Amino acid sequence: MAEVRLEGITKAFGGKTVVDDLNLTIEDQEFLTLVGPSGCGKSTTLRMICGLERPTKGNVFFDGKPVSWLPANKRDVAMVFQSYALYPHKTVRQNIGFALKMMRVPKATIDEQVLRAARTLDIEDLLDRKPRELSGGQRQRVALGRAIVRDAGAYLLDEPLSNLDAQLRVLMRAEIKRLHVDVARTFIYVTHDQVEAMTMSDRIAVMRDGVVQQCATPGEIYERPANRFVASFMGSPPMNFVTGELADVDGVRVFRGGELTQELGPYDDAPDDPAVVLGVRPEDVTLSPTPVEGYQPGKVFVSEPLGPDVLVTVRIGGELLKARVPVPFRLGHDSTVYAGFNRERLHLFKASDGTALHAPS
Amino acid sequence: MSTVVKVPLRYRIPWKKIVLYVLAVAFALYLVLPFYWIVAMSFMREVDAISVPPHWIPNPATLENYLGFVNPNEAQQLVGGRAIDETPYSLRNSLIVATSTAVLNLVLATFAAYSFSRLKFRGSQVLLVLYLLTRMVPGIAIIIPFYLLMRTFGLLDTYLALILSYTTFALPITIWILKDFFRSVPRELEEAARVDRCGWFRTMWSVFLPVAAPGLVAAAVFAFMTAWNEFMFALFLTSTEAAKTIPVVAANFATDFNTQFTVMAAAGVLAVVPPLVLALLFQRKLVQGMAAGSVKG
Repeated sequence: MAEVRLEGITKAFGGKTVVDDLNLTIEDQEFLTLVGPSGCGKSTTLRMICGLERPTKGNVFFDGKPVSWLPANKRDVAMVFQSYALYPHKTVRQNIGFALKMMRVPKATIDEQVLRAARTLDIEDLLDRKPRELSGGQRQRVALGRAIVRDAGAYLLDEPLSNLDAQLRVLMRAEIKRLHVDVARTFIYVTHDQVEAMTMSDRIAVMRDGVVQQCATPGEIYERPANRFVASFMGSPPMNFVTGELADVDGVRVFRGGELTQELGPYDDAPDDPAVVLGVRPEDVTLSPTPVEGYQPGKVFVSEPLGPDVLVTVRIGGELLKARVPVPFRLGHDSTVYAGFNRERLHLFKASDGTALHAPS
Repeated sequence: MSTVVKVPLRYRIPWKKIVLYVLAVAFALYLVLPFYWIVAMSFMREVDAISVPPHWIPNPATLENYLGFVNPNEAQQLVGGRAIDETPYSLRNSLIVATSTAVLNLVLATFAAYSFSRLKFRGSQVLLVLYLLTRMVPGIAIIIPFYLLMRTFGLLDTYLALILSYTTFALPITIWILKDFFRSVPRELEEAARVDRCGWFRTMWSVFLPVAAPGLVAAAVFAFMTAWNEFMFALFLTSTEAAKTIPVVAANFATDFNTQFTVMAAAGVLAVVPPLVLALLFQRKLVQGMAAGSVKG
């Protein structure tokens, strides 16, 4: 059991700051995901928690005890590597049981625990094979097995699904989430895939350039992104953005950007600078083939059927906006269409620094 | 209605292929024939070996050339400077010297190569080049200083003199071989071992070195062969059967008065056996994929 606390963690490699003054507390038994684009410092953060890197500044605490200067083998953590890092000369059984052997656990107990882990991951019949005889998915399971066989305080997973095909990734996503419930330990998961982050985590920390942009539950991250970066990174397809400015028209606050004019609801923060960016998620855009009051006329640029719904790109003036609409959608390319936005779910960001202007919740 | 016109396929002689095959076979013969001739000759009588035209197959085949090393007949005893008596001792000496060189070289090179492959330190590149530069100096240029050095330390005609000399020859190249090999061992394997509760030494012993085994074997075989084949230093630094190695003794088979080709061939075959056994023993390790399956492919 472990609560992991990062206090003012900074990591620099040769003068380049990769993680900058990061403060984060991961509760005991929580599933926290560090998500962000490549090079945002998420893996480095995980490696500092693990003990594979030392922070340039700041401290890592496990259950309140500072561990920054402890090497990885002295910390109570298990890790799944992005590349799996299976020992090629050892069988699956030896790979999974290796840490226990190093901890001088009696052989009978090791055998029992390895078997239990193998059963959980459905790799019992692979125990006597070498890693080179396994498929990517099987290797990934062995890597997971090597971690879960440990009774570690925290489990660190560094993009463990990034090498799997799409189908297997969906399957393993659910399995890891279930595993977290079963073993009831702290999981810290690193990924650049926002779908993984949204589906698996109790909380998500979105990182960019070594700084946590927002740390909140998946729902909050999606509904109330702290800034434009979080809004654009989380959600697939990503949020639409239109640059424009705020204006008062007959006492009603209105957004104007290009050919788009949109009435807005009440907003907490009245920015000094009227230059703003309007954000709208594709599922909050409604399309109509006939004119509707308050809808903006546009042309269908392209439509991409996704199965249950269709992703339609509409050109309104100079802007291309994506709308996710239910099937059937029968309008062809360049047909006139009217787009309406769900006023309750519009996002506004300051044009200057991208900070969100939140509506009162 | 369309008609199908059948165009007869012209057979083209694959000249390129033929030339390549002929060259390949010629090259193979160039490599194999001298060795075959030595083996065949070692089972011939002297009179058959020097006959013209040559006998390619020993007929009658005889073991007397080999038996001579245990119980030489009169003719064999005349062979240059007791070379036949010294062959068994020199084989033993060569084996001890070459094995010791391989082991010592491997231990030293492993530490050095690991440092070069994993640690960043000032001057590492310069040091590496410097190591290699020492191999650019011809042996003949340093033989006298070596001789004087060994004499000062009282090491002339000892195994140690040869082992130390050969280690200095083999070490730079071995470090280079291993450094590149170690760099190709995924760093994550060591990190995984650290997370799996291994200290540095345990990580080395249980994970890194077994994964790097093919490289270690290649380096050991290289050092062994360097020591096994070396002639000039052995000639200068040894003088009796206490330390003389097989290349020095083999040279003694040819004298101004008499050369017994068949006995010389038998000694040659015996000299080939240990490296051959070594190569056969470790060939699987040498060719197997090092870290196959450990990290994503």
